[in-house]
Amino acid sequence: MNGANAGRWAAVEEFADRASDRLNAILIRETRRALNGKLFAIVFSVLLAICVGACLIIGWSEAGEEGLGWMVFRVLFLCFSGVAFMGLPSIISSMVQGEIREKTFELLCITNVTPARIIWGELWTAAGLFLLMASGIAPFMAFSYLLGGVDVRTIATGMGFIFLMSILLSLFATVAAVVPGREIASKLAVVLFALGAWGAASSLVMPSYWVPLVDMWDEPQTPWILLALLGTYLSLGGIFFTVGMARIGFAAANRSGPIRLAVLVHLAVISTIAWFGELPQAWATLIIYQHSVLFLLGMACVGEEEELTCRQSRKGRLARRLGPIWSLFLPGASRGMAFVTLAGIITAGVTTLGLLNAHAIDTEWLAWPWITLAYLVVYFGASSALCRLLPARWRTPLLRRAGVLLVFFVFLMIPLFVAVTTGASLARNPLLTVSHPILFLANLWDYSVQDWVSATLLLVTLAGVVFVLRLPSFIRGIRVGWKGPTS
Amino acid sequence: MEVDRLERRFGDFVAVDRISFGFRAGDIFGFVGPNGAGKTTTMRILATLDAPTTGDARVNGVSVVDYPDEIRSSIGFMPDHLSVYTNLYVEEYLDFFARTYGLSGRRRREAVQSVMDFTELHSLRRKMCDTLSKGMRQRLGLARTLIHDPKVLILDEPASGLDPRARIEFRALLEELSRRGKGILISSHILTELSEICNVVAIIERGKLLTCGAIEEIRKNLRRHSVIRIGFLDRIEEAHKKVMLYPGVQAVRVAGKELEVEFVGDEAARAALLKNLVQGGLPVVQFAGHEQNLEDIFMEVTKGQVQ
Ligand SMILES: Nc1ncnc2c1ncn2[C@@H]1O[C@H](COP(=O)(O)OP(=O)(O)OP(=O)(O)O)[C@@H](O)[C@H]1O
Ligand SMILES: [Mg+2]
Repeated sequence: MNGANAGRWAAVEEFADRASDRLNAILIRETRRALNGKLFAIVFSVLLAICVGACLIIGWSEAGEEGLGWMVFRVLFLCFSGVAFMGLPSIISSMVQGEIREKTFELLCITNVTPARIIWGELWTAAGLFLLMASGIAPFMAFSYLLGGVDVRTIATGMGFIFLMSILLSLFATVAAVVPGREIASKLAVVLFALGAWGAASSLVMPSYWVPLVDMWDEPQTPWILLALLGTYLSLGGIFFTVGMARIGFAAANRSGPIRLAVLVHLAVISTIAWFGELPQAWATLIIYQHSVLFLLGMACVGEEEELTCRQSRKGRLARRLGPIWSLFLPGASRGMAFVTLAGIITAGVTTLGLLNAHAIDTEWLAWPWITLAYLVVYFGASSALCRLLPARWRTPLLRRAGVLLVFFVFLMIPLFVAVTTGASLARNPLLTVSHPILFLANLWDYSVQDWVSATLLLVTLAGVVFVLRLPSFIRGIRVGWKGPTS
Repeated sequence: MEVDRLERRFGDFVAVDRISFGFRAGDIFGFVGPNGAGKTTTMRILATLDAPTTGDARVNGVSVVDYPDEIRSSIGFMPDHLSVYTNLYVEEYLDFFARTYGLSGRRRREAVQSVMDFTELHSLRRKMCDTLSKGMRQRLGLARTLIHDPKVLILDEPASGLDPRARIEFRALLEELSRRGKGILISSHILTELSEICNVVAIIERGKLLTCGAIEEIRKNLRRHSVIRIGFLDRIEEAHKKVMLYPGVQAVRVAGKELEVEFVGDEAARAALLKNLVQGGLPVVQFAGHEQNLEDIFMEVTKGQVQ
């Protein structure tokens, strides 16, 4: 009897073992670690405790109110989105940082596991953890449904939004963890990232949270909005992915080509979307938002002068054969600068045309090219200031990237600024704590001619200073890009 | 494995300066040098973790620079620090790496079993791998390196921090691996440690390859330069003068009633020196050719310029 049981047990184990061969190795490892350790159990129990607490408090204080289920749902949603947008990405990020610190990453890099599979592994792990937590919160969601006031479609769409965003943020967390090399820098990046991600994420889940979805489905714009979301989601995800791959795969595998390609694809997507007049301002703003994140990453990876290794100079020979345009996609000294500059100019042009076509209301469309220009100005300004003001031994590539982080921060502000001035609902999002100071600033701005003139003067002066400071680098980059590498 | 004028610069700093060497299956190749010599840098390039500035290395004719993905399955690299995951059992750790090398099903389980057999880790399979002792970690590292049955092993200071007994056991493991036809590149600071297991050694300092060859060859090349201790009953001053003028003597130091003579010449020349002293009527009580040991060779070849 016992023997038969043991036999059956062994068969089950055998089956599970064989099935596990089809899964990503990193997913298996992380699942085992989660089961062997305590951290996940603690996070999970805390989430449950918060849900129970929230349900009890609302049930007790608002008993008998109309639409109680809707209220419970929103509170659960808030708790869960907090965990999914902050907790999950930081678990993933600390996992990746731990690997880098312990140098287990190096061991992984010399196995047959490709960087792409490593990132997929992290994403699968995030998805797995998400599902585990979602299963914990599911009974409470069912409870809110039973209380009335919220339908299944709303719950499902809301959870879908959280899931997609949480995966995207985990992807970003992976990238943020592999981009800067040192401890403090990674922490800084993660903090900035958390701030930005909170804003971006909360704007993405807005329709499920603040807008009654039942109405949203009847709006003619909804398909466009979803298309815009999907387009930006996928292309942004693609960029994060390639950037992560490039950072994980050591010197021997440089992937700046794919990164630059992904950046261009994303630019194409958002520029195309900008051509359609069906999008409301809030969504257009959202797209700018993502545009800025995209530039951040493009810059972080290609915006610095790269050291040529012998493998790359071999590629350089290839580039000479490919001709000037294609060589912009290959790594090499200063070509990153030229690439970003050209990409910025092209995007600004295309987006402006698109907006002239679609959103030509007063001077509002000017915001778009201004944002692109302002971005470039701030980036080059910050990095050249860093390069000039710092003592030589601090002029590391890492610090030069600090300019990028600064820009990221500024770019958290600008889209919100635009949104607030145009009265888009984004600013009323109470999750977005950074929006209050912007709201104040925006009230000072009235689209008058003086405002535009003073902003123009300021930007042109800044751009001029920066351009002169960085002139050699621009020229070198464009020349190298044109002629092909010389080394 | 063929290493061909490999160079790695970090900015202006040359960490590895166009070094070339090679070894074959079954060889144990020792790579010796003081701290900062560039051993780890070289090994990381060979393990495809880093790219050389110029130069190349080939395994069976396949370049590690151009085809890193193809090379990885035939190379096992053990870094100088053992990296482990928290909350993972020894067996799970090996299982994970077996999966990452694409082993599946029975082949994976057999690979894990056989490396655990080989490194005698069976008793520890249910131990967390971050709680292992240094020696056990080193074994686990070796087991991990062997999991995909690579043809070339690159071991960076595998014996550092091991007690004498563990060292001997580790050596036995390496000898067994070499018998199984693996080419092994092993680095160390200590030439003596390597001399017992390696058939070929290379000494590197400040990124430059100083000498390379079988230990006996290196020793023979350096033997011309031996130290002889000659003890006298008295008349040490007179002896000193006489020895100094003898051809082939490079330097003489007086230590009590003994002379330490640095002498260039083979055994016949040494016999001639002794004959000359005795015939000169000096009271020689002792004449000892001091064999150069490996430490001396190492000290002599390297200049002690740590960077
Ligand atoms: N990433 C890096 N950036 C700059 N310099 C480096 C880098 N890695 C190594 N070096 C330098 O290269 C030189 C060789 O280092 P390496 O680690 O190869 O020495 P090693 O022979 O392994 O020394 P040890 O015996 O101490 O392990 C050192 O001077 C080191 O400072
Ligand atoms: Mg070393």
